[in-house]
Amino acid sequence: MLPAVATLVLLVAGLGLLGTVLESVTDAESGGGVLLVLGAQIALYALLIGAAVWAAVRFEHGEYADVGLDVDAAWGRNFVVGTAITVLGVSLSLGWAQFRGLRDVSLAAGGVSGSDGPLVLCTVVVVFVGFVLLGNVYEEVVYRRIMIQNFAAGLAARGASARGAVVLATAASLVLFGLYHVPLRGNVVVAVDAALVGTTFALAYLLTGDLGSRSASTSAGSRSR
Amino acid sequence: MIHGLTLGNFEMLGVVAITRNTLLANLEVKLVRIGLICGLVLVWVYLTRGGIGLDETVFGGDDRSVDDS
Repeated sequence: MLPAVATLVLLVAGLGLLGTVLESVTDAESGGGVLLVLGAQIALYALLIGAAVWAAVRFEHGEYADVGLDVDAAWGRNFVVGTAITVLGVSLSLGWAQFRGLRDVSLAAGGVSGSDGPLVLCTVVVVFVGFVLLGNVYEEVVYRRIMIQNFAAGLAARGASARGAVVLATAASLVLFGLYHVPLRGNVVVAVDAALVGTTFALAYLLTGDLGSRSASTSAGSRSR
Repeated sequence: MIHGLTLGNFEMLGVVAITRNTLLANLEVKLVRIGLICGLVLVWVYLTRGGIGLDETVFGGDDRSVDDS
């Protein structure tokens, strides 16, 4: 719990501070202002990941390699497959939604409007790396790797069976993952939505034990709600 | 970004319009998506590992020292 609470406080405080500082020094509506804000938020997420990893290593009395951020061929393969699975799942569900008349999908309607084309492209790249990938790596480290593993170990130490400990730990992590989104996005519906979506990430983690597939799933899926 | 995103004076135009914005409709889309992704994850794990089970690096039931704070 401590890494989650501490990093959430850091995140909310950091975003508030960034907003105040950047608003006073730059025009947030300009292209440069947008990039500056995104860059600052990327730095904040990098800081949060570092803090979460440090806390995990400290409280588990483990090593940095145990946290799961090491990148190797298997990680890369799971990342690619996780991305493909999520894109496929999102695409098929949108196809179903269109078939049922719940959504109207129009690729021709997509695009980017605004001046300074290259800057827009750069912004999109920064958005992807910063918000989608880096931000979600933070969520995966805290809410899957740290929480599920430690909750399960704690429950098992108190007499729960391995299977029961993992189920309870996963449920608790999903509830907290949902609550984590309330101060960031404003309401309880978002919390339920995040907890539901989190089941896919939790499943991928439980079955693979790898950050790659989970980060990819989160990245490809989290902004398509 | 499928639903669109505005950054300063730039706008990423969405490709998906919500034509029925009710709780049941949104829940249906969400559950279909989650079910598909979970199913595909299960297939992938089965194909690569020959079975479906808890990865031992997640929780091996060992006596690793853990701070419960």
